[in-house]
Amino acid sequence: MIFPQPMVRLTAVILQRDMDEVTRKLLNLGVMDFIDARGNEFSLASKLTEIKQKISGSDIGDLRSRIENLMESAHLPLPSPETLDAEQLAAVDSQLVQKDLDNLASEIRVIRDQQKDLQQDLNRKSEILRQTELFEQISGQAPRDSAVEVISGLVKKTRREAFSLALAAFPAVTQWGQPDESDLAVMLLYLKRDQTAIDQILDRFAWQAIEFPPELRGHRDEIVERLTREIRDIESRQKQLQQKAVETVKAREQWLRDSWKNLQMTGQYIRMQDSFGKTTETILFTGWIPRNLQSVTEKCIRETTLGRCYLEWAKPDGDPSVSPEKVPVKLSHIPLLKPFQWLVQNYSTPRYGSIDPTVLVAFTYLTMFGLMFGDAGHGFVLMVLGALTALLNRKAGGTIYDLGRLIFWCGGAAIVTGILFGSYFGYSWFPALWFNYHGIVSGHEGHGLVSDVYDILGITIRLGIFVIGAGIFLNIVNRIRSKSWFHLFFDKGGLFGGWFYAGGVYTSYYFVQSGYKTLPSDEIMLFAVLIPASVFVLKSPLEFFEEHKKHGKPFKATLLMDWIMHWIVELLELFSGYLSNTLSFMRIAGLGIAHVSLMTAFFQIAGGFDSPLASALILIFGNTLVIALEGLSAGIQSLRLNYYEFFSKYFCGSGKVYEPISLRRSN
Amino acid sequence: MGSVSRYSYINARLHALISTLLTEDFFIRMERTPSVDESLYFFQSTPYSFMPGIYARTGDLKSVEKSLTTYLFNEIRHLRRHAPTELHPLIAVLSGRIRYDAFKSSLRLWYDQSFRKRSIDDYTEYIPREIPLEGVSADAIINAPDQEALAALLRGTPYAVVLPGLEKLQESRTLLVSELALEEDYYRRLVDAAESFRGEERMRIKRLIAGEIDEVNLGRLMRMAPHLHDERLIESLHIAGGKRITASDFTHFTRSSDKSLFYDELLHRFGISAPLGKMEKSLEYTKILSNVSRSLDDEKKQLCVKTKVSSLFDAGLAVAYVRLREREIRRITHLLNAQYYGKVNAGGQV
Repeated sequence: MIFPQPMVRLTAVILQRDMDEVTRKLLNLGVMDFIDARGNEFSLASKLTEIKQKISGSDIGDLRSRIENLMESAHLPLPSPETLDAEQLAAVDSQLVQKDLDNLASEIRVIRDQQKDLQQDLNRKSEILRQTELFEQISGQAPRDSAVEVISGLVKKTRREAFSLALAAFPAVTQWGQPDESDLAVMLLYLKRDQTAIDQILDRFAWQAIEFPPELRGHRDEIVERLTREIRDIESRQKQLQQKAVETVKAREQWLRDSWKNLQMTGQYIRMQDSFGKTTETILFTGWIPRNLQSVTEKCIRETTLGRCYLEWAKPDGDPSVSPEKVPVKLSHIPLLKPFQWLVQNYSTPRYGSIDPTVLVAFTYLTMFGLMFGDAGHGFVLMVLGALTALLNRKAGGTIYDLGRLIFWCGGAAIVTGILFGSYFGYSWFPALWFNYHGIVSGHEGHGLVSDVYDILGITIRLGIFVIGAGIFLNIVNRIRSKSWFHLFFDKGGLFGGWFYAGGVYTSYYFVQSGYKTLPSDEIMLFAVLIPASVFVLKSPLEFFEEHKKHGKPFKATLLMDWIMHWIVELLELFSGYLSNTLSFMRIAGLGIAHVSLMTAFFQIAGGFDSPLASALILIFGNTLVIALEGLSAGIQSLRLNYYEFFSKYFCGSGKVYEPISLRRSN
Repeated sequence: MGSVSRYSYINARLHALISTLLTEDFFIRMERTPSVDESLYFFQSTPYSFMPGIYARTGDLKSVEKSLTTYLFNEIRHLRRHAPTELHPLIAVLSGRIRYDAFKSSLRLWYDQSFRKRSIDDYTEYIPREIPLEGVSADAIINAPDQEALAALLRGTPYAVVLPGLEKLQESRTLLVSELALEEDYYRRLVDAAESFRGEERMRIKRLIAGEIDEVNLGRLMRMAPHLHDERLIESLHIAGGKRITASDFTHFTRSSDKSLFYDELLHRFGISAPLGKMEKSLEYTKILSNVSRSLDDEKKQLCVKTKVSSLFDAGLAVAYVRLREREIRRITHLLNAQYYGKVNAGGQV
């Protein structure tokens, strides 16, 4: 748990006839992070050729993404990775899939074209509606500057339908009057710009202009209502067509799901074989596997090939030819710690063989957060919010899910510290188990070890010393494991740096204990601070001699001056760096005090109101604001302290994430 | 420019928006998708996530295009709302291009129905009415009964620059002169807006604008000038404010006997060496011009990265972002149209 999972490298040689079956088995197993057998990393690369595929991975990807988009358009979920089984993988006839997809696309296109025609009808209706709405009342000719023309006339009763149909291609509206024996009076409202075309229609229907009859006056609202109804009708037909397009895709759901599954598996199959190398008769592949899965993998390959294989296993540990940056890193933690693993990987992936700080981060992050946000009531709210966020995003997973779980943990930490400080939504409903934060910040003297604000600051500085000390210790462990002896001694977080820091801490403690009057004795100062500080003078010369040994770098007298300057600068950096790193932890107290002060301020504001309702509203608002603002600040500051004060002491990043080719992972 | 606190929001907002610009890989994936329906679903997790819904509702690509224009206008308007007042004139001019385009579309519709006697009923609703024109409405322009009425409408508005071109419409039978005047006026306003800045910031904005004007001038020399015979009209194609192409290049164009050599020399100024013998075809022109656009876009992207690293606000960032977004929207529109009109029936091939 404290180090990444041990890995082992497999190099396998199998016969070509076993390749397909082995690929399928390894896909189902999904444990191997492949290395390109024809890449520079591999000594036999030049003797190997690539496996020719009938279809390229990018073509597979294109087809798959076409299916994904079509399924998305019909709100169909993609098949779960759990349903994939490489044994069911079938040869992909890309042209056939392409043709079927094109046919489906064409079917949808036909529907879209119908929708487009409807949309244009809707556009015309919308335009004439907009123009009609500009009239206060329709009672004859339109004003001269209007864009529309209003006329009235007679049309043969028998030609009413045909007349309406002819006008349908224009933004125009009609209002029919009472019929007489053979004719119908009609009011026609159209856009002036269509005058020529409308005139032609009127001629065709033997339009007979008449005085605006009283029965056709004043129908503006009726026309507006009719047009609105017609627009709604078109919209509803649009919806039906939209649904028809969805149903068209849904009708092919099973085929789409099966094709997607096969394409997804084929994509991974090709990807895996892309890293294989071929000789005349054999196939060679190589990659990394977690050590605990070595025997399962070996058994799988041997059983599949009936023993016709050569397998070679190599451990990276202690092998100087294997760079730790190239060994993939698998961090394995219990699910409860996953949010903290997310925080670590957000910074960087630890290098193989170095310390994986997930467990430590869980402790330091929560401690810091709890001290800054010590209120059991607020913690409870955070816990509920975190649990809800995680539950709602459980299926989708991802960042929001991890964030929800982290908030849940932070809420838990705040409840614990809230109980220790006796704070429940700013009230002291139960006595504090440790010290009363609110009381101390408000100026009431506490009891025991914590009696004023300075004591709170002292606690956070002690926490800082502990965290930085732990960082130095972890760096020493990392350096010993990687056999970096020079860095073990001369790193800022190395043995001499740690000695200097410990000496500095002791000197400061002594000085404070003496009431800021005296420093420790000369002998102690010599041992605690001066000796480790002096040893650093050797750092630059030793680096030079190493360079001289390797590359023959010549010595010049001016180098002496450089070395002294480097030493002075290094000491200054060491002193100021450790001092600021340690004091940086006072922000924990700062935010904790701010949390309490904000609550106190809201209590005072609420107390100023006579109405209990107003007071309650102020307190609800105050608590919400404090939870949101302080929760965010405390979360960010805890992260900052971990990343910059803790990780910077020992963390070896730039690791390569373990990414096996598997059907269960999205790639 | 100015204190960090006043510009912190707009700075952060612009960088956040820049990070949502689509990548080249995105367009490659989109190009490989044969149907509009399918390719629109690539936009689900982009700022254009509204597009698939509009297309599914209407089946109408023009409605999707209209929504893109409105989106861009609203985005720039939002920027202006949250920007310090010193930036308002620049942002207003940047958004002005969308207004000019909307005006140009209205004018073309009017021209189509008044002069070419074509029915425009199927197109009028695609004018984005959410984008208000200055001093006149799109409907009034489209429905203007005649030229005098249109002139009366436009007089006193920023669009009055098109009037001299409209006066000669009876004889020219083209809107070209009016549209050239409109574009020239737009760039004049843009250059003027840059003048209100100081020092290096002004230099950077002017360089970006000059690059844009150069691109327009180059496009005009390659695409328009060869089809024109009137020397004065060719010379009038030039827009002032560019660095690489000057007014004299338009004069030289008419006098140059070897056009390939002429273009060769021009493209050298953009750092492009092309085998110009092949450049007779318009396809080659398009390729060359898109290379020019890409290199000028790179300049804008570099500015974005530079300002991100330095964390200091630079008004050039607003210019760079708006132009990159405009170009992105144009590219999306072209691709969707290619898919709609060219690809579907050809089984996925253009």
